[in-house]
Amino acid sequence: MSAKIQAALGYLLGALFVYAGMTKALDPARFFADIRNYDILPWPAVAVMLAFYLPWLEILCGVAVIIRPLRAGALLLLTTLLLAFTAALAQAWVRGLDISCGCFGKADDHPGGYLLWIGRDAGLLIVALWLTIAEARRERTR
Amino acid sequence: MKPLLRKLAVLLAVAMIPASVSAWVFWQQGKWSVFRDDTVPLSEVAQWKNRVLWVDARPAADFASGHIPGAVRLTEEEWEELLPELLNAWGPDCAVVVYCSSRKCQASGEVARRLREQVGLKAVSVLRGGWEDWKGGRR
Amino acid sequence: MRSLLFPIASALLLAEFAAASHAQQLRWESEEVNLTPIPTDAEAVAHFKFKNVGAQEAQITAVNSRCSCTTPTLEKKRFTPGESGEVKVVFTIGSKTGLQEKTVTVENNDPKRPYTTLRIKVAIPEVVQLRPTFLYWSPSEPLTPKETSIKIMNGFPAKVVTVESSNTLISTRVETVKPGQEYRLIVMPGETVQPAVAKLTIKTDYPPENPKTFFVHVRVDARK
Repeated sequence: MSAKIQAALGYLLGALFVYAGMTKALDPARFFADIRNYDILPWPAVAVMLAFYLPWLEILCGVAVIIRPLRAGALLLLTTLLLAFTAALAQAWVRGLDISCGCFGKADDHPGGYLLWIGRDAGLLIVALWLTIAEARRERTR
Repeated sequence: MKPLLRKLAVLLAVAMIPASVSAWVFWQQGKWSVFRDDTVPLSEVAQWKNRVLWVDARPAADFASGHIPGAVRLTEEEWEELLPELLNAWGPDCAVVVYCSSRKCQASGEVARRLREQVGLKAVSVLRGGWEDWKGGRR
Repeated sequence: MRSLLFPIASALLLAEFAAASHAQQLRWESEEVNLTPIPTDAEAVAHFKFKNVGAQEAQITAVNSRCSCTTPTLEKKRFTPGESGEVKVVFTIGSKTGLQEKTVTVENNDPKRPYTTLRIKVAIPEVVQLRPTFLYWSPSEPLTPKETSIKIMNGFPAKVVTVESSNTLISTRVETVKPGQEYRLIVMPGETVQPAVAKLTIKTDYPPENPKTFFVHVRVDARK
């Protein structure tokens, strides 16, 4: 696996998260509503905090992927986020909740997308995990 | 391991700065009330001792195909025409619960807000999940 | 197997990027429009302009709105590459107030983006604010007068002209707190043991062609 391809994929993943983070950061009220729809968090206050915090964490990690010293941490966080998102979507699907994903803010609002959303996040998760492991390996040998 | 944890901490901490700024700006713009959550799940309503007055905020056609037994209709479009019937059915001992089609629709929130702020009714909530949750018997 | 997994996942990632970077047929000038009608408006209209930036003919199959207050119209349904079009959305204000958000769903034949959600945000000025619009006396409550505050907002040049009660048992009186800005509507139920209901009609004098009317509902329950 060429280092150049890895780097390129890392940048793509980072850029995707910057885009996703921005669409959510611009409309915190809507992201809050989307989070509530998943019906996982018992306290609205936590949902409010996440609605403001998560988008910026995504943007920051997306950018940090480019910065060599922070790359490993950024990738690990992105992988964790993807794991959490996939799990949230999966539980909503199992419970048959009628939600809109909230993944890309309003750019994502169309009916019946569970398979698409979960498939997409699972795919991204695999990429992120792979990159994280590769980066961790490289860090250790440095 | 330690350097990685430190990097994680940096990222997690730095993200709080724009998040706080964003939250502060939002509050300054007076929009904070959108976070007020007055939705209740059906399981909770089932445990209430008070009489529940169900308010259906959906269009007439949806109501006709099926509604919660005993529900009265109220929509923003037909506010003045429908409000008298609701006020007639209401009593000070009742808990008003407004619903519309599902989690996604916002009509129930608007109607509840208006009942609370403009009409002055106390104890007004919104059914989380709406008609879909009722049908699915999700308790 | 391991060597296959990564390229597949990468392909998904790249496909995601292609989807996210708007490689679609219809490009919308804006998918969200803010409208600020003035008090004399009965409707608020939004124009959603779009252009077919794809290589093939774009066909819009349906334009729907969930609310009867929002009416979308489209002049034609087929657009050749490069052609522009517009979805006109008319929002009927009625007696609504505050910030209203309504959506219109546009279905088309683009496999990459079959649905587009157009959003209108209408800020309806509440020109006359009545609080509360429902006055109630419970069986154990004494029949002392209650009041509704009437506030004229945003420099709206309206004055309260008359207040009529649909029930002679419920009488009213208007007190001026600040002329042209704030009034107090005092509601006095007459002595009664029986239940009584009334609809109070508050007439203003603005706009002159169609002066706005507001209602306060009154209910007195039978005395114990």
